[in-house]
Amino acid sequence: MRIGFDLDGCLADLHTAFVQTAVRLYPELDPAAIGSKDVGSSPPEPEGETTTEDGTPEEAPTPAGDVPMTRQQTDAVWTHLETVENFWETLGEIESGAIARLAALADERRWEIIFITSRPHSAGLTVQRQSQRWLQRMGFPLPSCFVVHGSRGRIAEALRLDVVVDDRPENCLDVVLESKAGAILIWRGSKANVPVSARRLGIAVVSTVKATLDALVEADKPGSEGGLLDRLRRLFGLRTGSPSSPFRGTRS
Amino acid sequence: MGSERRRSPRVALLGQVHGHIASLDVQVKVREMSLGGLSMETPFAFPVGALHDFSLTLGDGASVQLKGEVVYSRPMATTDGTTAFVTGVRFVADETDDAGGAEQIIDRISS
Repeated sequence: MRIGFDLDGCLADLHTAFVQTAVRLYPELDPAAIGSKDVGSSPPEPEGETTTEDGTPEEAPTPAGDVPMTRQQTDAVWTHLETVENFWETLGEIESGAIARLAALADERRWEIIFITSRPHSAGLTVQRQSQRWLQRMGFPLPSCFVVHGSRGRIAEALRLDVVVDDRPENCLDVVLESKAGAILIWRGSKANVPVSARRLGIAVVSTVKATLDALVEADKPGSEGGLLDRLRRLFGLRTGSPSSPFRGTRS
Repeated sequence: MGSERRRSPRVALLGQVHGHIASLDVQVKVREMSLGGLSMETPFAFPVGALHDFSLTLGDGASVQLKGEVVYSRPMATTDGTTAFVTGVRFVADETDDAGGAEQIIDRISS
């Protein structure tokens, strides 16, 4: 099985560093208001890939939401973080021990893990090298790290991944739209806010890396009926569609 | 970024996702899509508030069914002079959706 793992928001705690910097730069910000776990949990996307600021559904309608920081404030935080020497090596792990467990499972079950990230540049080593050194320090030796911007779906297809684990709904949607890989969304917010369409579109939703790994292990057990990803789909209660299901079976 | 996540940033499509409005038996071209909804090109305007069942065919042939509410429908410029509309749809929960079921299964495995 080939698994793509996003870094920030899934494994790496970018949120804490982001919020600490935001409060330092803008003391007027209410830490509670920007304390939601999804604030600063992932690097920003390039301009033009998000919804309109006024919330008007010019194209695909989107749920309304709070705006705890302005775009200018967010940009200023990122400008600062990019000056920090080897910033990406300073982050903590969201779930202590999760990366070491992932490494052990990968060895035990012959999973191939590819870490995918859209992290912007920071001072010091390349983003790839910082990410590799961080992963190694967290217990994953010799990590394969792919620093890339653009469609996660096309990346998943090009890398022939079977499953992609990501904390951004749009990345998971992109994966199921543009590739044959399955998508697992790590959603650390309120379950009530999970978009109603996620499961309908074949996106599995879990709240922790631990639950993700448990599900992958369960689906990977030999002797069960169907392909590995069929089992995973059943495990998550995802609906299938003819002629193929959103989780479409392993390529191996 | 948190607000961007909650507002389900869109995925621009290159035409490989095709839609079918089951209740009208009409094929449409999906322009953009997010987990919150989609925009599509339609040959006629839709009344705002109307509920429709959508069958989406993804790039590899898999099909999924979704229920959506029309939130706008506006005329759009076309190069060939034909009349077309951009129609926005917000996905809504289906009465058969059971959002908690899968989570309970995963929780049992993890416990």
